[in-house]
Amino acid sequence: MFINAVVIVLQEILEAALMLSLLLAFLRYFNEVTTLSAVPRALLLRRRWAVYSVVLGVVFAWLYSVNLGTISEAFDYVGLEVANAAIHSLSCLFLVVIAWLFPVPFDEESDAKKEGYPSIRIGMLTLSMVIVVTLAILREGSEIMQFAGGIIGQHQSGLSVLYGGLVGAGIGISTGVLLYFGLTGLPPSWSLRTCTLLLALMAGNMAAQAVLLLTQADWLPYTAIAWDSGALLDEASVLGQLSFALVGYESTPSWLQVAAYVMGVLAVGMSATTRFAWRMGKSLELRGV
Amino acid sequence: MNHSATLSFRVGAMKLFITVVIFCGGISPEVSAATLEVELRIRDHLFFPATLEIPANQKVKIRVINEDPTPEEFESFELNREKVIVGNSQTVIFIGPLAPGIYPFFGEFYPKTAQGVVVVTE
Repeated sequence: MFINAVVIVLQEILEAALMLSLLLAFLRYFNEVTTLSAVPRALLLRRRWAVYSVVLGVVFAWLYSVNLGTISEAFDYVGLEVANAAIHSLSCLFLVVIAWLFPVPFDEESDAKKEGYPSIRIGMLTLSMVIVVTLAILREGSEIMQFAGGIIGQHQSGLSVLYGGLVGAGIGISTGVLLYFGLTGLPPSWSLRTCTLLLALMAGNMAAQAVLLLTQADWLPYTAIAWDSGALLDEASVLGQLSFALVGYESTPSWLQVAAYVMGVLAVGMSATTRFAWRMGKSLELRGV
Repeated sequence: MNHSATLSFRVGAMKLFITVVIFCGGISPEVSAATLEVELRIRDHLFFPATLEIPANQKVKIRVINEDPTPEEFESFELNREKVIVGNSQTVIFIGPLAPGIYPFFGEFYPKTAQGVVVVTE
């Protein structure tokens, strides 16, 4: 049961940890470059939102887990797929909102420079980040609670599951910390580009997973498998699992999943943040930032 | 980026978006007669039957009945399916239409014992 618990907790915690790390790295980067602009630095520096999200996530995960039986029976036994698809769609939506709300350092000639960023925009951005992280912990945490609840209910191998869970959580959180320092350790221009790219891929991932769940529920039509890259990167391998948690890697996606993924990526890709990342990134390099 | 460049970028992106929407709308649902239903039971962390035989190119509804008091998670990389089934309850998972072949699945919470395959034949 020990290894089993390690694997399950790791798998579930990884996605949430990577998402939180990415958002923190994003903020950290902007705090560094905002000397160029009128973004209220003090507001962005507050990281209390991360603590709120984790607490909210755990509470909602528990509520979700307790009511899983009832949710599962809804809509003729596909309630779980529908609820999870809604959670994934909301995550995608708010990842896109984050991309669009992110304060972009202004051009020298921009009008906005004189006006500054309204604090409501910063407030909405913070709220969006809380929602995204809370939802990530909700969907992953509820599965851990189901698994652990089942074991504890049986009064068997409780301790080995606890230790396994702690090891799994440790590895998952460490991977998140590694991603954070990896991203913030890059040169600023590349750090911002990588963060934006990951944000876009995560939005695509959430959209694709929502579509997959609705197909599983038979609410969306079946579409053919687009390709099979299983020989290239096995989904069940460690690297495959990591790629799944980070960018939603799937070795045999359907066309509908691919379409949803592309739309999620585009929704982030069309934001001012993305354009800034590629355009301004160059000028930062020139300035030697 | 000047104004016209921004505009053409937006127009280009919008065209792509519309194409994708039309593409998605164009995929019509598989119209088939009554969906085939098969039953899969979970007992003592084992699947019964451990081999599910289903016909190719047809959507199949698997009714999973968990007789154990503990939850289990039906998972299959080959089928792209994942679903938690709480203890002493039942649920439904749709799979297919599938090409002929063997598609393994397992119970993620008790993978040592809960193993099975979907065998798809012409």
